[in-house]
Amino acid sequence: MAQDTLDTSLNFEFWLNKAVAWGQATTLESQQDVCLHLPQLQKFLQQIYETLKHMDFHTAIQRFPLIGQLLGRLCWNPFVIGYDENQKILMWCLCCLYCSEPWNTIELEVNIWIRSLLCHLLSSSKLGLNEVGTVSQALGYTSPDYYPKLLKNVSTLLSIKISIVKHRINRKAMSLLCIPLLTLPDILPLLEALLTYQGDESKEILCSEFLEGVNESFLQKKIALSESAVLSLWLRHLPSLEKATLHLFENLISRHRNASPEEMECFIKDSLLPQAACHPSIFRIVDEIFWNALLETNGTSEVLTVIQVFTRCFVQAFQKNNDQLKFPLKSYFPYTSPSLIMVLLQNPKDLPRGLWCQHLNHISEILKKIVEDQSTQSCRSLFEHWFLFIHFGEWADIAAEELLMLRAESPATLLWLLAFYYNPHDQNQQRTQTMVAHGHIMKLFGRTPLSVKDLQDVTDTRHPRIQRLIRHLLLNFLLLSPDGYKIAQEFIITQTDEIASELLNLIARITYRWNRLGVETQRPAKLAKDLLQELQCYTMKSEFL
Amino acid sequence: MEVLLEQLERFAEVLAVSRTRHASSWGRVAVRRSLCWARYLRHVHGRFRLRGPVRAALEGRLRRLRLRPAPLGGDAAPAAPCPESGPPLSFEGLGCGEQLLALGLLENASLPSPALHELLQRLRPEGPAEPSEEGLGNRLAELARRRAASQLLRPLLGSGPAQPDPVLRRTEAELLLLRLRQEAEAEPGAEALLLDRLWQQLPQPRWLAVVAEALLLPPAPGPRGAACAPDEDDPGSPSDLGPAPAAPLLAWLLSRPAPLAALCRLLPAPLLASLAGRHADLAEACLDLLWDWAGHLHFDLTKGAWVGSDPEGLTWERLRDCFRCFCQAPAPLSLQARIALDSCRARDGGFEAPGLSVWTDLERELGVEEPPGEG
Repeated sequence: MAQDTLDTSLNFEFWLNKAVAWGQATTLESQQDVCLHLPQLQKFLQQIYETLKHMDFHTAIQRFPLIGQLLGRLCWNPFVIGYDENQKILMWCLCCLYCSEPWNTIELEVNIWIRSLLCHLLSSSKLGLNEVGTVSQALGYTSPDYYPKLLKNVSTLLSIKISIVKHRINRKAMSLLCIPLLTLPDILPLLEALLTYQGDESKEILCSEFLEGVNESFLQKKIALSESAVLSLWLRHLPSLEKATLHLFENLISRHRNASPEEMECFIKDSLLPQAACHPSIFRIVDEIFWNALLETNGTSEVLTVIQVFTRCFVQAFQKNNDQLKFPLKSYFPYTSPSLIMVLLQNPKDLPRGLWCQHLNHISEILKKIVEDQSTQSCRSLFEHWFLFIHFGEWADIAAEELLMLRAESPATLLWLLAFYYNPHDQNQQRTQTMVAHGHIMKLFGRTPLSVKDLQDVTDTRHPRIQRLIRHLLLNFLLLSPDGYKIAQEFIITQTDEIASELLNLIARITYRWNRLGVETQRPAKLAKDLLQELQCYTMKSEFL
Repeated sequence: MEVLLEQLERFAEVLAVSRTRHASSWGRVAVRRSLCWARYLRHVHGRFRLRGPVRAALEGRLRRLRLRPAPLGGDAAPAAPCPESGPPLSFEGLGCGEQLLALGLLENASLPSPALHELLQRLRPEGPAEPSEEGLGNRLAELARRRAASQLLRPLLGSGPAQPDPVLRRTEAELLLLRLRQEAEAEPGAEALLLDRLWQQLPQPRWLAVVAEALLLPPAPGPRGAACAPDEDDPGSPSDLGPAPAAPLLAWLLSRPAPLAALCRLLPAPLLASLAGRHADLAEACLDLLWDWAGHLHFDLTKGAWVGSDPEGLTWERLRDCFRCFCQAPAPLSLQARIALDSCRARDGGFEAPGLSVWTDLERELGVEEPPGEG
């Protein structure tokens, strides 16, 4: 508490000096400086109010002798008043200081001063600067009628002028002036016009604080920009795009950790990133960020799911995009083979189920050929192709399922694909190990009664590299075999938290795919849903303890 | 129902008084009570604004209130409502009654300190406010924010103090049309009285500019369905004024020779042409007027030009400018103007030589060709 009061006192002097220096913010420097400090100023004013609200005038004056100067100067600075909640807090502060029963001249004068300041903030008739036309006064209208209309007309007229090239209007100055006003809904047409204007200047005209501010407000859902305005913003200002992508990631991975893929889809579509990514330069940047996330987390299941769902949303947006500017697929994945792109892009929904295996074999063939050709080429190319495959990782999930449903004519091909998915390198060594593991799992089909120990025996392997692949196959087994499902829950509980959440993530992905593709799997689907519910509760409980 | 109507009347009185020096007798209780009424009536407005018999009854009572002389004692205002007490309360005004009241009290220097203190405490979040009252402080703050926003952005439109401000004019035009509609709803024929008063009260150039702007406002995009409630923050935006909001204004203008004459004389010619192009009746009236005035011009041989007998009246230059703009306007105005020119010239005698008929010289000056099939 003492620390707080100390901070506020020190800050008071700082902010008073600032207020004096800013004046009424008529010069470019003062305007830029105000815009830089607006968020902190609001916090400071909030603190001041928290202190003032328990005080009357005399106590307040003793605590902050220069409070009058500060409030007075700030009230005459339209940048300060126009920002977010400053005007509200200043009003509250003034209301605190008003004396209810003035005893002496000083208090009377303070009251008069407060009243005039409030009138200045709110009313039009005392201004005398032709602000409210004589016509409006004659009609008997005052501020509540007048200002909303005036602002709307200003905004409309300005946004018209912006879009006309020959108008000598200073867009840079305008963008600066809009910074405090970003969250005011009346300004929206102006923001849109500024963002979508395509001039012939080579450099960016709008000030970067403006662009940052717009992006921030958009990410916090304080303004509702149109898709084209957001696209324009991200094309002009790279930091905004990066921030938006990271914000989405954070939402999906940290804040909404237990979001199902369906919920993820909603978040992703809301963020407007898939739609914007139809523009290849934006796609490449977003993809770069995904790549880094993948590397940093060593390719955890959550990140893989995010990439998968995002790609699905992107493909939907791409196919829906009716613009003439439809870019060739190669521009999104420039370092990979076009035939691979085409074959991965195939939506399983558009293929009859019986043909999935065949298609998987095809994918496998193409990938194998590319991979085996890499022996003389760089590692980079290998990872590019692997990364591409990750985008369409749904096919890997289908491969695992097909393997367990015994529909594969040549399980070796599908196994190779799955192994590549989890470990793009070290191919030859792994092949035998994976085949052995697969064999073990297939043996589980016949074993009754099945016990958790049997499952643990399978996963307890001396080959740590293929652990994840084994778990993936095992999970499919548990969901699809009649005996497996009985002990699924029991088994998962015995795993570590990390592995359990990986398995849950897999289950979520599987049910998402089944729902999307309309796969008829009554019992497994119900099982999967039950498992998810129970185990999510369980993991949340264990996090508490 | 009767109770509601009573409270409506009380509140209308209270609102009127809040802006006059009679508020000097108000104390805390008076302020609290009036805010209470305002809040209550705002809820009423919210519930019944989508038409309905209750709304009609309320509007009827408000109408009758206006016709009553203001109960202000010794210095009762004359028949015209006193501008300081604000426009007569309308049903829509109930939607922002609290703000109007608060602003009225704030601006009233004669309100005693304890009373104002009571008001100010209710603007704070911790004030002794009931939960439903919290909006007032927020709404006033929004107003302050919008005012600051206008202050920041208006200079960008580039109009200096000497030039007329198009945004201001447009806003005033919208407010004028709003007020006209409110008057018309109150009592048919009241619009004309209002316009007469404004014509007397305001400086002519200003008034004419606003009238012109109002007549040029784009028509509404079709009347909105009853299901779409008007925006609460902006009651009576032009879009729900209906298909012909400016009709009463036009009717008034056409029936009053003095304003019409001033319009034709003072309004910049291109603007006059836009107006005439938009409203055919107005075009006809203007052309008639111009023909009438042109009759007062005679040719001065010493100066070699057409001059008017009345120094305040129409000049040759004005006549020419008006017709030039009319002829350059899109059809049907240009056609109308040319036909007028031709027929006037024919009426004068159809002369070819200069100096004999003002219309001949006008046609010559404008380079208007003979329409094919004549001559």
